[in-house]
Amino acid sequence: MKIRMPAKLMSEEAGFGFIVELYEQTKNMGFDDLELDFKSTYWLEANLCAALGAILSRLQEEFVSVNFVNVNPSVELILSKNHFLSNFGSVVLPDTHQTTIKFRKFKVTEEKAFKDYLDKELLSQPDLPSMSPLLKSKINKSIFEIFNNANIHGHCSHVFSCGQYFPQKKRLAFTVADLGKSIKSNVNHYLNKSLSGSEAISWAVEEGNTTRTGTIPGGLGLSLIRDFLKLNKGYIQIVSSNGYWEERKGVIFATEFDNTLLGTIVNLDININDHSSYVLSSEINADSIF
Amino acid sequence: MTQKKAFKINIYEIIGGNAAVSSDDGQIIFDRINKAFKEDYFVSLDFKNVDLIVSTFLNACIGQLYGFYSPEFIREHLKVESLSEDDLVILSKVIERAKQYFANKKNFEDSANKAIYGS
Repeated sequence: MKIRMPAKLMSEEAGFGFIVELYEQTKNMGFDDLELDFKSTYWLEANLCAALGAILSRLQEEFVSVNFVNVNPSVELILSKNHFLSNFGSVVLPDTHQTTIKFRKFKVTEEKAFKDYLDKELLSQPDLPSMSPLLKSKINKSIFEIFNNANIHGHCSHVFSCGQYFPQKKRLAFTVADLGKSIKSNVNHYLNKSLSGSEAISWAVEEGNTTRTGTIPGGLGLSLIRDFLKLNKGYIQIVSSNGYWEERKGVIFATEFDNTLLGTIVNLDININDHSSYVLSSEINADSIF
Repeated sequence: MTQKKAFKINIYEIIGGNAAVSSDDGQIIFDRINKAFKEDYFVSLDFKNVDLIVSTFLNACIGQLYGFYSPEFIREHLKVESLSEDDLVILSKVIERAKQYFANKKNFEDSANKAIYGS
């Protein structure tokens, strides 16, 4: 099978729509060749490698040989620096400007390895503007909430992650993807309803809503991220099943794709030029917290 | 007068590092608290040197307690040390959420029992 990659692959509705379509088009492949033609592609946001990698890694498990052809040198450079192409047979190049956060595949049980990866890749880049310890901690926590959601709700074996700094914009994009149970499937099973993909995501992101039923409560992780990103002036995008949901500056946009992804992609776009002190509205006393 | 029995749980030592990020580690801490509570011990959770704490861990470790013990019992028997202001905010949300979760769960189970067995 031959698939033509788009001219620009960006973290926006159209970009995620293409990724979901790529999943749909290739999901039944096995013992075959897949050629991804980059002839028209001149811009690719490298954080999306998390989602592409999830799809292509699954295809490799199904004995599909993935080949990248006609890759523009600037696109090839970034995909080599972030170690994405090395997963598909190409060489690794050093990242002298350190704007990439490497593409990695983790088992869902590798929390400690994921923490080391974040420490090394995400928060120790010398070329970045200095970030307060609290901002770094907020970023780390937000990404971990996503990682843990993939484990708890996706019931999947692996999580894929990749990021990209945009030094001019002073922003960080970080994407986590899994091919586990979709939010739509979990929410509809729990509520015994037939919500659309985006309606299911809208339900799941509300504080207090969780599909957990055991002895451990849930329903907080995504709302903590939303609270942080509102103050940070960042944004979040979630793709799951055929649903697309995003929140920018408190404004929510949701829609349905024509195709369906069996899994979930979450992209966080974080303002790293953030000097908010995150002052608390009221002090919390550790002695009376319970 | 009998001296109250107390025990300090060093989170860093038990989870083997500075990242309290997994549900499994939270469950290990929960099991220790639960064991101590059954012996009527007072428990202090010391987060010294732990620099990354996420809600998943706190849900398993502390939120889960509200399914087994009353808020009054927990308030009397548990305290936390060395948590940053930001982590205290998250913990307070975890606690608030846990109380709602178990209240809803009880209502749900009562309704289910009523539906199955009658009132």
